[in-house]
Amino acid sequence: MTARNGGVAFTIIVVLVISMAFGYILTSGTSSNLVPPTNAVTKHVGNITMWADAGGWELKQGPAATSYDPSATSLINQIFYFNESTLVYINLTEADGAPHTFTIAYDGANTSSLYSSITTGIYQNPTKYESSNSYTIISISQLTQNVGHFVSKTYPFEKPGIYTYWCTVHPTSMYGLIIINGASS
Amino acid sequence: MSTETLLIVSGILVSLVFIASFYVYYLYSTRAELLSHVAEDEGYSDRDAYVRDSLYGKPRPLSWSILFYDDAKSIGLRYIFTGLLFMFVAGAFGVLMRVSLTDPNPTILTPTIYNILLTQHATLMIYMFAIGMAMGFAYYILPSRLRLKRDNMGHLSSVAYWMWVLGGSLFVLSKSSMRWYMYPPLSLQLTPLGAGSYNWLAVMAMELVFMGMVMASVIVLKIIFIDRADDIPLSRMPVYAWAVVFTLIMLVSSAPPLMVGLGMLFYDFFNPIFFVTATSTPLSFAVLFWFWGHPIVYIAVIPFFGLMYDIITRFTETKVYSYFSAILSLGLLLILSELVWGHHLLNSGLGVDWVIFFTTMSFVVVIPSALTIFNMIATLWTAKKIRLTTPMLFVINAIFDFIIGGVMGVMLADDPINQAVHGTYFVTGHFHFIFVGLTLGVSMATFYLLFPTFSNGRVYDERLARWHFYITAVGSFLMSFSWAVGGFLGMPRAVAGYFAIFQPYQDTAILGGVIIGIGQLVFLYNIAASWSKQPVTDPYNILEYRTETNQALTSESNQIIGGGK
Repeated sequence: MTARNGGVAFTIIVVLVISMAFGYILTSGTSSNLVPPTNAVTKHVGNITMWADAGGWELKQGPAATSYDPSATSLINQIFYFNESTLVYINLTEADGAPHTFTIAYDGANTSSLYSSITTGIYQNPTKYESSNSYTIISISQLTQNVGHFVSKTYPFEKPGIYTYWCTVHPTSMYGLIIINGASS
Repeated sequence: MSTETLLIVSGILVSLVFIASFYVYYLYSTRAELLSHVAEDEGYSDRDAYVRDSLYGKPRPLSWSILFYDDAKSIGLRYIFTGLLFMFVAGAFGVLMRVSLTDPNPTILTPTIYNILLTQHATLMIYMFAIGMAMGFAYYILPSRLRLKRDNMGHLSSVAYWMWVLGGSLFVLSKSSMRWYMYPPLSLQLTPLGAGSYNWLAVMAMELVFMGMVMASVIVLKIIFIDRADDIPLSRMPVYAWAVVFTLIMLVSSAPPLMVGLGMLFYDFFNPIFFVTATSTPLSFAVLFWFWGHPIVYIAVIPFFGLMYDIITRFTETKVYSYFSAILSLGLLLILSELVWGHHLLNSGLGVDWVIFFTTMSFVVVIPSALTIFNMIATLWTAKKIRLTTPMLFVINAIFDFIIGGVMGVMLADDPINQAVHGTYFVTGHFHFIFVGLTLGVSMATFYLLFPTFSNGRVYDERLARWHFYITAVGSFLMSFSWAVGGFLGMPRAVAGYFAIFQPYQDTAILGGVIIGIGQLVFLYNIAASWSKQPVTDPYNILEYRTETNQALTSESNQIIGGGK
């Protein structure tokens, strides 16, 4: 840039930067492909009621179960089965005072090979942990770190297939599967 | 090759690289030391100015070299042009938001993208444009105006500038949609419908911007207080220098609460213990934010008051009507503006005692603002003649817009009215009157005034500059005024749609916003076209080199010739 065409250079920079910024913001990669549509039509209603514990999601009777039994480990990280287009109520209760989230990702169609590959190792498909492929239904700030705090949210599962649910703070211990069957019985 | 050999070899290689880089740094620092002595002998206040002058000649053409030299003029130019660049980007975001509101339902943009644009427009305009222009003019004008003895912190200024730019760029990249308030729990929700998936990056970026701003402020304060020439006592410093002093003291004293708050917010991403647990409250972050957030809006205005005084005295060829009351009112603004932050939280349940306190203080802060404006009007009133050049037109429009926007601000600070109109476009109208009329207008006025110096003696097209002024003034008034009227009737702000009964006000605001955008394109074309012409004038400019002494002399001789008045 010489002194003579400084203004032209500045104009070109301005135009370039504006178009880059527009292109960047408008082709927004921030929208997760799992954001529930506002006009979702669901036919069924389901429930997921769990204690959020750093050792693993524990299936209990939700807020009705007033006492927390650490010895009941048989129902950790349960697999849930629902029909297609089910509105699922996710009811979480804080168990240990640590921060937790309830995050889901879509893994693929419900085939036995995918099922076995997922159940043998959580880190097989790392792209699903990217924010554009996952969706946090209950965040850290919604489920506060007070033992016994109860939060309930809904999510419409429309597409059949295998979903993974996990806690972004404890992804190696708190994860499980939600399987949506294609047949709408 | 065994693992041990590999480790030993790579260790030796790394050590060699370190030794080599230390040697290069040693060579650099010894030469820099030598150059500093040479520059001092030649009568330069800093090393890089001497190097630039000996390489490029005395009237410095604007070139890429401003990115690599750390003298005050180069850093000032960097701030000014970066500020303008971000102004164009954030302004384009603003025009896009306006255009997307042609229909009451969000059809052109999704609400998510509207929220991103809203956040980016606000944050970039305040932190990158207003602060950038304020810092840029301070770095560019003050060193020559105060005839610096020495300036040995150029490299630190450069670091501060790069941190600030990096922060601003990362903020754009974060696609944050948390508004410029950054309130938790919204800012903690890393989801597309919350604050954006990468909002943690936005919080880090803001922290970088803050560190850059505070570093630069401390350095400019040091330049003004310690490095200015011995024959300029504090009592005779230019009003502009005082305005910068008050601004920067305000910045340095009120930034730390929010810097700490941002640190706590960042910790809350991992372990939320500060703002969103059952035993804490998000309101405590709001208090930390507004303790900084109110002073920032004065920081975006007070340096431009100083520039307005300078431009008015320049084009009326007189001196400030009352130098003492100019300094006094700016100083009072510094003190009082630290006590009014609560009027942004009148509806948050502060309690009636605090509401009365903050409302009263907001009325008290009118006094210094009115002193400033009446001082400017008195300067115009007592002038023999007023040359209505483009910068002067911008300044007169700034006075006009500041009065309207200021009166709207006083209305807003009144608690009963605030209960009715908070969260409506009335607020948006209030601060756009001041920011577009005063901050943008006076930045443009000063840029036009300094343009021959930047461009090494070229002059801008006066006719296009006037078009720029008229288009911007009309568009700004249309937009802000229709917001004010619509907001008073209850049009909610910061949402991607609106109720159809507000269609006329939104349509007028869209018209105004697009007109402002066209005005800035005229400005851009004017710069590009004028810069390609041959230099015709002396790059010397009066804003940079005038002192209070010769200003007083001219005004005295004027009075003698004019018979005194």
